Amino acid sequence: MKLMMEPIDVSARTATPTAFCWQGRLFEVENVLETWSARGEWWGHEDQREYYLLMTTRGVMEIFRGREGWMLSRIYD
Amino acid sequence: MFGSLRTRSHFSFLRGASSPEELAVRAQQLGHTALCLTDVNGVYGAVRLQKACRAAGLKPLIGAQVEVAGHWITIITQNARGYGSLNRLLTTLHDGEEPRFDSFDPLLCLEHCALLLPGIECAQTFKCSNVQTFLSIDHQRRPGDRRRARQIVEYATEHGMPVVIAPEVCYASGDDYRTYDVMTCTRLGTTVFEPHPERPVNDEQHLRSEAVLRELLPYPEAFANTAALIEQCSFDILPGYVTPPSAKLPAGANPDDVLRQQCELAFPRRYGEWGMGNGESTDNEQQASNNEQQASSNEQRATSDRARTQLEHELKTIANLGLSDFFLVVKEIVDEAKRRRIRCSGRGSAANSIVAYLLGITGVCPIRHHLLFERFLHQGRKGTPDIDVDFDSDRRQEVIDWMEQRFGREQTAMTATLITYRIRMAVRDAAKALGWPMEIVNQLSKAVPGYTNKDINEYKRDLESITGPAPLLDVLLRIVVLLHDRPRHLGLHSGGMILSERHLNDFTPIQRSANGVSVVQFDKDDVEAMGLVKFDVLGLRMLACISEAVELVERYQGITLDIDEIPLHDEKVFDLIRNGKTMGVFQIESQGQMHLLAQHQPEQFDDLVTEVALFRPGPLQGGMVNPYVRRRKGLEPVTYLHPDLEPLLKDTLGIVLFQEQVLEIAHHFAGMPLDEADDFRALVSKNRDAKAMAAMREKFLQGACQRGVDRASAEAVYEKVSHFVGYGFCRSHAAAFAKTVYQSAWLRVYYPAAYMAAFMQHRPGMYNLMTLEEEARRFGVNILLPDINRSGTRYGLEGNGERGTDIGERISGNGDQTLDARRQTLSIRKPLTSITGVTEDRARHIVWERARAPFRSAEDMVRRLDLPSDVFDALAMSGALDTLEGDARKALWVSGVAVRRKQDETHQQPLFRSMPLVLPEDIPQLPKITARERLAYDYTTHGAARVHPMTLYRRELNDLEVRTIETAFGVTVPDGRHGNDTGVEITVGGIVILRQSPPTAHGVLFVTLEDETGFVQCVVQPNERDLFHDQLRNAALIVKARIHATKNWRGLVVRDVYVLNNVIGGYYGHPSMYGGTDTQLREYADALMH
Repeated sequence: MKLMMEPIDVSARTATPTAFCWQGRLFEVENVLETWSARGEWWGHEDQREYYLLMTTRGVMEIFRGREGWMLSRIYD
Repeated sequence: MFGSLRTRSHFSFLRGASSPEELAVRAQQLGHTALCLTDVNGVYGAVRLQKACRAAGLKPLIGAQVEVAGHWITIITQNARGYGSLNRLLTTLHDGEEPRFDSFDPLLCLEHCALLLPGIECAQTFKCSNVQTFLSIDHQRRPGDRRRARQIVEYATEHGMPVVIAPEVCYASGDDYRTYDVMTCTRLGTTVFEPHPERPVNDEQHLRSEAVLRELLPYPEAFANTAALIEQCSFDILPGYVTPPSAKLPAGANPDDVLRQQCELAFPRRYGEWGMGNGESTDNEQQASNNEQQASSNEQRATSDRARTQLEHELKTIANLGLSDFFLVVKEIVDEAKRRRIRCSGRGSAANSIVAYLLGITGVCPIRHHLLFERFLHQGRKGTPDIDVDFDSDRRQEVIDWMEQRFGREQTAMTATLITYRIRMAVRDAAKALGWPMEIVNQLSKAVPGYTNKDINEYKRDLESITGPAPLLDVLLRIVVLLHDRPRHLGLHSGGMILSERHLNDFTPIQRSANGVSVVQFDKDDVEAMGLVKFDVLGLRMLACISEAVELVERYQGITLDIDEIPLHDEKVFDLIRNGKTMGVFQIESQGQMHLLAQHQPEQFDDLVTEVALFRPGPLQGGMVNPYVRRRKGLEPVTYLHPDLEPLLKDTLGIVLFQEQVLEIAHHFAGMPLDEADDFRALVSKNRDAKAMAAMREKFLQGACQRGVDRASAEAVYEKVSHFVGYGFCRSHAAAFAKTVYQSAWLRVYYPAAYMAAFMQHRPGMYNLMTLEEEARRFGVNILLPDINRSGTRYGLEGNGERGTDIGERISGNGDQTLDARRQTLSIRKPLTSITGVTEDRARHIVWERARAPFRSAEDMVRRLDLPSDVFDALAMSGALDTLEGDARKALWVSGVAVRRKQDETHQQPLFRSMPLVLPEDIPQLPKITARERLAYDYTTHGAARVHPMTLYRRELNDLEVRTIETAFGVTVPDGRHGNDTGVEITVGGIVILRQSPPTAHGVLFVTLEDETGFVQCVVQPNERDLFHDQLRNAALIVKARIHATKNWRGLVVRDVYVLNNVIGGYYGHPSMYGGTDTQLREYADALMH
């Protein structure tokens, strides 16, 4: 598992990602394995993140949508 | 049906962030049909939940969450038996030091309850066929929640266990997440910047709709189980009737009849025979005959007739409300206290009742003092009336212990009180959670008042001056608002003892307070709502003081006093009160009261009742004091806003002074029924609910107009009455207190030594020990230092050359002349316990050892007593060894050497242990102790000096023309001058003994200065307060001021302030002890020169 924290472009249907693009490569979502939410620093820059653990055409990836848009969070080996 | 089954409210104390009311409203908005409150380790919010659910149309379910072997188990009660069963379990839980169970065994005793187990591991460990058990599933949108729920459902299916939907709810809506996080940080002692596994990861622990949960947890059967469980549970905690404890009655007797008999028995003694009913209880012919003689006047006959009528009315009301048992129980408690010679006195609205008076619960006749029963009890009253009885604070616990024994430990417990967040505590907790260092946290919390109704934003500038312009400050202010009024922890009510006919676990769990007192989980309002009866067993230090003074008089002067039967019209007592020499007198010893006494000049007991009632926030804020005083002096006419008010306000000169008058005006003037009139009184006193006040106003005006009063007059009366806001006394309470005022003043006049000794023992007043000792000396009572061979464990008395405090030694009276002589010459001997470090146990140890033989020297004392060395030091420095060693310096030296040798001796052979600890050559030629050292030793070891510190300054102050405080009392208002301004300016110096700025004073600061000749109140107007802000914070001041005079009262209106440094100079360890200088005095001298 590798921590990435890199911005990605996401295509989503009713807020659920269907595909995303990272480093010029397309990752199509085959299955949403898990979703969760997290809140941080409510006392400062409010940051609410919606996480998605996805089975994609290129493996299991964790992405989230936060204050600064969509990010690739982790890549699972 | 659907509802949240696992809901924590803020009654989980820092584990939940919303009130039951907020949860109920939100649940209703989300379409829930039920709400189950499951607070941590208790059912604290059950009553409020029930009320809130009634209002919201929800079905209330009551349960709790407890920690068992590391798992949080939820227990839901299915009916009243289940509720009792849960309460018993929670009581057991709170018996341990940490409220948690190490095993599942205690849960096996549960009945009529449902258990929700939170996970597979817990289900594998806990097996019980007695209790209906469910596995609960949750989804808070945390990583892994969906998987966990699926695993639980699979396990349940495999093992045939039912599953219910029970997400853990900790607050009503997502917005409350911040409050919850701060609460969690406070509970864990961490900050929002530090991660912790127990802190919430998101804001999903709020109530959610069934639809949302169905999407997250797609298990229809679990929803069906949830609905079925809710359906099964049915329990109402609010019975709508009262369950008073059972009185001790003869077999087959009816409580109403017994109550009547008890009143009839007492009636002749109180009112003579005219008012006698059927003569059933006239068994004391001699007494009746005496009463006949006493009641020979028509007035007495009329009083007796009124008393009879009132008694019949009250007995009927009490019987109709089913409260006879309650009155008999209270009588039983008061009788037991009296049998044990524990002083007690009924107060509050109970003193309005002739039944309470005849039963001996209260000591003031409601007929003679025109007290209104309906303020206490009336036909429409819901719940039980409050009967408050003050007991000698020293012996109150004996009464409580006896009550537990008499009514059963399981049937008695103390009412709880909710300690809610006030502004200072909220600032403190929020600032800590937001990560400010403790030094800043302390400054921030000190920058706001402990309690205020003001908005926190009004203190923003003060707080900003500490933190600087930090963005977090705005967050802090928002959090403070969110925390405000939420429960922080459970406290103990000052005296509300619950007496139940049934086992208290049928109603509530019982906890142990920090000092071991049994306490229920509900406050007084909830207790009343559950139909439980509470009796206020209050501790009053003044009663302990009076009891002890009476005992001292008996022991040292051989006179037995019946303080309850002293005549209430003694001129000497009223002289003392009128002259404002009231330091140490109950309720009227403050400077403000002394000023009022000078204006009011009480002449009889009823004036004392008025005096006590006048000096309250209600009359003070309502601007009623000055009109009353002016009318009493004849400076303005007595007028009434409407002729109908004259009979109601005649005795208070047209001024609304007592709560009863508000009630009577609503009843007689506005035509409200008594129960409504009492509600009106309660509403006006609190004045919090503007909407309710507006509705009541209309009702008042309509009622008055229907009685033929014109609208303008009705409005004027309403405006006047509605100003009776805040805390005002009821007349009965003021009358009960006035009696204690009179008794304390009487003792001070006739037995000053005994009274002041008792007063110093119990310290029921507001002045420090030094001031009390000075006052005693001014009254001609000498104060003797603590003495190792004479002092006891309590303050005692000594005549000239007598000893009176050793075990078994008592002075008995030998004829009146001797007694009179003793009365004049008695001195107060300070006890050993007045010395720093000498606890009651240590003082007892000294006294018991002394009983073998007096101590012969400091060395002898060290050898025979087993005390820490600093206690020996304190004994020596206090002067307690002066009679053995000559002075404190030598005593300190000798005891110091002896202590060291004694320590060495323990390591030596027994042969050497008989050697002296101190040899003559061990003691050098020591310098004589100086006055400053003496002062410092006195202050630090027994709290008061044998001479006033200002005496050391007097010569220099005289040179600077700084006068004694006594000088101000020689100045009067010149003839022809209006008001109380004498026009004379004076400069005085003294120690600050009081510093007050009550909200009623609108920014004025009152500083009381004391020197060796007396004390005086200095009035610092807001301008001067700002100007001399820094100087006024010092412990000793010189002030230039204008003298104001009213009779014997003097006040100084301050113009200029200087600091008088180091007056109490030479503190032990203080630099001035080694020659510190008084720079401020020089500064003042320089200012005078220029």
